[in-house]
Amino acid sequence: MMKGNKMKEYTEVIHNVETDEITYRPYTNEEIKQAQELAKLGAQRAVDDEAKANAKLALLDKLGITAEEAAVLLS
Amino acid sequence: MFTTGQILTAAQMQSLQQTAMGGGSATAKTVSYVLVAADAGTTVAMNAAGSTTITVNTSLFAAGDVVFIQNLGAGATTITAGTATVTTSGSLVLAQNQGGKLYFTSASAAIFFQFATPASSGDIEGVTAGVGISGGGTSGTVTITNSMATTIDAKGDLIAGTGADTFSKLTIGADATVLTADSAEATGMKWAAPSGGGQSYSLISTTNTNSGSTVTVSSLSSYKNIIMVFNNVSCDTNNNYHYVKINGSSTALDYKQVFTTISTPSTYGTAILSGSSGFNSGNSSGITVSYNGSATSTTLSGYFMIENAQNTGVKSCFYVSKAGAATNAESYTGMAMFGGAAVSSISIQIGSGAFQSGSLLLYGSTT
Repeated sequence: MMKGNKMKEYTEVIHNVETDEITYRPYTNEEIKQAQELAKLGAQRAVDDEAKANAKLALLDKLGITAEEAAVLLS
Repeated sequence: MFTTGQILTAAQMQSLQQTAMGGGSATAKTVSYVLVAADAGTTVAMNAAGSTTITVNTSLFAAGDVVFIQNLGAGATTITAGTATVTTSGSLVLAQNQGGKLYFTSASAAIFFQFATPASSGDIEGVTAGVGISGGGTSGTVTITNSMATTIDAKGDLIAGTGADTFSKLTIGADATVLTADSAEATGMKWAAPSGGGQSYSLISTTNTNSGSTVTVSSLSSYKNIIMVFNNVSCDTNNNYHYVKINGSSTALDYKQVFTTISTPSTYGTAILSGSSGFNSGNSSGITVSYNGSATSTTLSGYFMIENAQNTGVKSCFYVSKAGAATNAESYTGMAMFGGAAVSSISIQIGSGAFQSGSLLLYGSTT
């Protein structure tokens, strides 16, 4: 546990509202592992979003309309 | 001393009966007196209008000697230990017409056995009802009644004081009313509809979210209801979900997102829901409250509220967020249930990178 020094990734910042003291606790190995799993979720989400966007562009190109025109169609 | 060879005459026997056995003429005293050896086997009778004493000294009597003492006068007679010790289980102070036997266990110690006092002194001559009681009497069987109890006529009646040693009945009020102090009432209180109450939140703390992958606010055990406000919170890494954790629990079953609506930058503000999810099976990462999409500048605003936070059972949570305008950023609104222990801390957590700006504002109510 550290006091007064900011730490970045894989650190928990704890603010005790009774004492108004702020401490910095490094993640445990288990917590780092869990955080890395969460990071994978975000990364996969990014990959999926990009694939979805590319598919959308391909479809618009195939239809010969813009995204705005597609939005009008769907409204 | 009666010795061998002596003959006991009738006169001597009569004297013995009259004196040594406590009968016959007693030695009359009218002033305080100090016992002498010759008093052994006799009765010393005090008869004085004022208080007197009978003093007992050592080396006058032998073990087994007896002196009868009686008080005939109006003044109290006190048996006083002079140089000898005198003990008793009764009283050494004799009122008029009281008496007893002084028995010597040695030349220097005696025990006074007091005759029982007249039984009439303990008789109950009457029973008088005091405050809060009625009835009583001076002869035969008497009945006393608790007046407070008989003042009660119906379910819910209360006995209330109206002043010193006085009381009256306060009839139960209407359903859902509460007992309220009111000095204008004779009893000082009345049944009235409840007023005020409810939750009153105050700002507990402000915590910067400019470092760390988890920011926790702790020592919340005194707050019944808690609101955590996300004030433009951002992190230095994109594609991050924001999770709220309670008590640092990583138990999936502690977190049940009952219903969540998800909106994107193109839909929020227009009440169009781009997605939603129903009751989930729990998430060890906590309760998901937003996604920052593809820009680290995406800021999270909104709040997370938990009610009855100090209950040991399941607690309800409500959350609403608005993520920034980055592509694919998501804002969440929904309800969740936290099944863990009473709340002592709340955290916001990301999976990668660290928080870089913004703050958490904690509001709490103790009612």
